[in-house]
Amino acid sequence: MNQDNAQGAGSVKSSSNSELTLSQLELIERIGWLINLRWVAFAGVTATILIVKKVFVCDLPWTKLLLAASAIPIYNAICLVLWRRVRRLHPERVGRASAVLANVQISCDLAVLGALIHLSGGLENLFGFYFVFHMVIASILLSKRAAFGQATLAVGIFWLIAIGEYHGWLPHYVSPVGMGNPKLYKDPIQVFAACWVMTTSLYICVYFATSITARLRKREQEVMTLSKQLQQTADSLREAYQKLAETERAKSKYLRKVAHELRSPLAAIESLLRVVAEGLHGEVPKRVLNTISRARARTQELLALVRDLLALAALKEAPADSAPRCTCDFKALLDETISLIRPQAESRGIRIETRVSWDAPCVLGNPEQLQELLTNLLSNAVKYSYDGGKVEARLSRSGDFLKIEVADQGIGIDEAEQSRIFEDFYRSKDAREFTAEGTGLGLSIVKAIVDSHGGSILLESKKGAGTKFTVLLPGTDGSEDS
Amino acid sequence: MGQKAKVLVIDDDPDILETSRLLLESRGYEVMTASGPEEGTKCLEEGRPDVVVLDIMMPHGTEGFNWLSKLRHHKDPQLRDIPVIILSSIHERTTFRFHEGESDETGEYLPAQAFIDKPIDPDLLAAKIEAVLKRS
Repeated sequence: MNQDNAQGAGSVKSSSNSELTLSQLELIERIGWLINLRWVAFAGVTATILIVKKVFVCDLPWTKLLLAASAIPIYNAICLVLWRRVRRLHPERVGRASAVLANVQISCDLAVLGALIHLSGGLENLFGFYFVFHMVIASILLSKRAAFGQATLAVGIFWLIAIGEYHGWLPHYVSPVGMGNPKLYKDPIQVFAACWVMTTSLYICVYFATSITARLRKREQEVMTLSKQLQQTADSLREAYQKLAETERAKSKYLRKVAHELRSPLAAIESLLRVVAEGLHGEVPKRVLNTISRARARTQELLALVRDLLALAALKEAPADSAPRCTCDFKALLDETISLIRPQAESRGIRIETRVSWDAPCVLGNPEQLQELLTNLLSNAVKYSYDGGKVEARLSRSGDFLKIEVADQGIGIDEAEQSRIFEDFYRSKDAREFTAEGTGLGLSIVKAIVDSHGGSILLESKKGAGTKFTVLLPGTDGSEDS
Repeated sequence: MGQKAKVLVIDDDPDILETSRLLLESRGYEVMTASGPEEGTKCLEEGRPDVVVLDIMMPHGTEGFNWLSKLRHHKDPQLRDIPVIILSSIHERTTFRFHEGESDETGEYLPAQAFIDKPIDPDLLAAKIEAVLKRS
């Protein structure tokens, strides 16, 4: 694992707009944490010295120990001031400065720890293992090279204490909580063994910690790259969807304009034909009247198509929430729709039955569109019923939704064609054979209205046995008119 | 039925004007026609009709809306309150609601008494004329 932690991770933008690596960002966050931790460490060391002095009867250089401990807040305060200054005055140098500062802090920590260990028992002092904590911190925060550098410094300090005390260059103080053998510092084998254990422990610790950190950084980087790619994909998808929606709107707008331009002359033609058919320009021979009736019928078909196209284009063009909405009572809408359709049904002996549950909720929506929805469903049911058949319309509650069911006993829809009946202009083969009347847009309009009201529509049908449409629309308690 | 009402039809389509005149006359109404807003105002003030049948989409856009709005602020109170039936081939979604009989209290509804879609169904139009005259 030769990846350098500080450089290995991918780069991201910091607030100062300079490019920073993930490791540098973490280091910047951790510098403050290290400084705060050191205040706690100072308190802990001072308290320990005072407690040991009070509890154990031993001869340690208490003043020197407290002086060594007091170095901690001094260099910690200096680091804090420098760090704040760099962040305020040179934000572009924060990345580099954080690495230098972290190295200096850890080196100072090692020096103070070395001094404290020497003044409280040297090799016998069990606190010698505290070097390991610094190695772990260095491995996580610093580059691999710097972490091994800190390990070498710690090992050097430890060896200096051991050899210095062994040769008498440094005085030896007897630890009150030592390893039991007060003469250990004079036994060359024991000294070498202690130094060797400490050396290998620190280097192995740094090796493991840096390897694991490097691997975690790599994973973190991969996750970050993937997340960036995902974000880019999501952005491009969103853009594509917006373009598509824009194109769809433009298409609908064009369609609406064309349909509108068609409708005015068609309406005029129909009126002109009516004037002739009604004999307002003089008596019309029967054969001419017959031809005019057929021309009027064809004109009315075209008008119905244009009307449906206009309705569909308007639905597709407008955003779902643009139409004015109010609380609509479906019972009233249903009655009104049935009164319009009943004459057509009765002329073919078709009964329309309604069942309305007392708890059927109102719907927040556009009343014209919702009436159009009912009209299309009911007129379809009548249109594709056999003479003398029955059409049923039901309104009820289904959870928080209004459930509208329109069922007929008519020609039904072949299973193979059921998935296509909501497509624009699609008419099933049986429907075309049963009646020429129909634009193939009615159910597209129904679907668009249901969608724009946040509802859903379900079709159940069996060829030759009838069709049932179930629409669910979000209900309202009637207090949220817009 | 006694004296039939006097109807003013305003539309920029000469075919619609002619057919609506013939169809309404055949049902006993006295009909005046105007092919634009200015002519419509002139006919309104000179002819003093009982009811106005007004097209919305004329050559310069939604001139019918403006004409209707001006009518409702006309200095002559009799003309100001004249019933208006909107005749249009735009039964599409606009910011206005075409609810019949709604007043303009909210400013959102058209200050018209009825609405009829093109093409003209003369019997339906006659029924609407009678209904709005009865109400006014």
